[in-house]
Amino acid sequence: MMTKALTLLELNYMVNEVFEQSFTRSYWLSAEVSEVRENRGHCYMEFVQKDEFSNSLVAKARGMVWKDKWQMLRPYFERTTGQPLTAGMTLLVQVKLTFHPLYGYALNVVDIDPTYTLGDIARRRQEIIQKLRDEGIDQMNKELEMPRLLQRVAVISSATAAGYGDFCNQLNANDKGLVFYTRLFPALMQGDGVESSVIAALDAIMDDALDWDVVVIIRGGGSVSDLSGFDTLKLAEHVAQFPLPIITGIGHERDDTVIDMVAHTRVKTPTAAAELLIHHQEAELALLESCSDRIRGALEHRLSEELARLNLIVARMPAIYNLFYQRENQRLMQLTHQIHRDIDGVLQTSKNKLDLVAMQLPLHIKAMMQGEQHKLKLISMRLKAVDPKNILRQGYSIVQVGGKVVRSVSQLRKGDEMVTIVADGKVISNVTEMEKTNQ
Amino acid sequence: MKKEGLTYEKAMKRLEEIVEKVENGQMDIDSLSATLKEAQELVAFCRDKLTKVDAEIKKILEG
Repeated sequence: MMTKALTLLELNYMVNEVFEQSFTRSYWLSAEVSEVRENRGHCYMEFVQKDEFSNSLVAKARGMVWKDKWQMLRPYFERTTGQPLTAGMTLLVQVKLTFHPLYGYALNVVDIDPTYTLGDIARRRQEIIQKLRDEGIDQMNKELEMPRLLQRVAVISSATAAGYGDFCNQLNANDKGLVFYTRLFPALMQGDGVESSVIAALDAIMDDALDWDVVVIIRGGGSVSDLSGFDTLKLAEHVAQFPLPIITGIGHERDDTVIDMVAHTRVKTPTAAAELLIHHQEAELALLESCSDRIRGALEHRLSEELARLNLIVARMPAIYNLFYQRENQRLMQLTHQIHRDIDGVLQTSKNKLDLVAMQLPLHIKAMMQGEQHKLKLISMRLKAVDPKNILRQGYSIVQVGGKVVRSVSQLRKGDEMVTIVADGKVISNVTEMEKTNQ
Repeated sequence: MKKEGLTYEKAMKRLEEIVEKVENGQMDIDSLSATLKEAQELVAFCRDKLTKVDAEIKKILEG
């Protein structure tokens, strides 16, 4: 006998009955979300489980959060995790199993524990950081020295978002008149393209790395958006190893993405990034002013010190001069007395003794010279008197025997050849007779 | 210090050297005015770098 065939609807109702009888309670489920979309206030998602090793799907289920629940769960989730619920996240959800004749098996999400997801995100970030640490590069960007002149700013941001404009306005509106040069290197700031486009922008900056002092990665807008693109190993490696210091201002409050952790400096917003640069330059300007003041102060101090020293010397000068003058004067007077005893009387009453001495000196020198000349004359006359030629002219003669002057008779023998020198010549004769006279 | 090849960093370093020297009284009195002149030039150089737009750089960087 032919059994009456069921309609599909009838069959599905039967399945539904079994479902409702079998799964009366709700279950906590931990699963990755592979797809999330909102429609008319409801949130539809797809849960998946992948094989741990092959990464291929081993389980899959549709899920949804109805509008009334989603209105509460969504802000709670975003507030806690700092991110919207996006594909790729691992969720801990409380689900009721449902079966709908038309739509089939689905998980009705009635609660979400965002701390679980937060923990999962944090864990994944930590894994990336750990990898960078193992590679020895996690601190590399932080260790770069921020240049003192920080004004050529390469900005990586979305071309469309207000972030870049706000950043530039903020920078240029500084009240110290500090100069900054900026250029936008556009990149996607949310979604799947973040990693590749930010890396491309970094590469473009790298091509002219010497042109830039610093790189700023900013993302405008206040709403929570998907930041998972900033939590990838590849991007983190690029940021950590970038040769210029990188400042991030990705605009999220809750916690740091991986690139925040490896960047040189992390701030919360583009505005804060601009303020950081302005403060840095203001500090330089202040340092410059203080250098200028300190040099001026030190030089003024030094000059006033030198001036004081000079004044002190000047102030002591008359006293020293007087003492010196008196001492010298005394010494001169003593000398004067010694040398010119005979003119003491002239100097006795003089007030300006030194002048008088000076006046008298030439006269005394002259007198001295004359005296000396006279002495010289006398000496010369006496010298003339003892000149043998003069003596010979007076009739005296010199007698020599054998080249020796004869001073005594006893030097002579009979027959000796004797030379007699007179004023105008000499006479040679022989000794014939000698007689010694008594003196 | 020659202006050619002078960078902000070098200028600031030199300034700080001068500050230290004058504050420690190591400065020869005869070179005070030359030092002051050099310091003023360095300060002006650095201040210009911080606050004056270099058209050349602007052109190259901002396009």
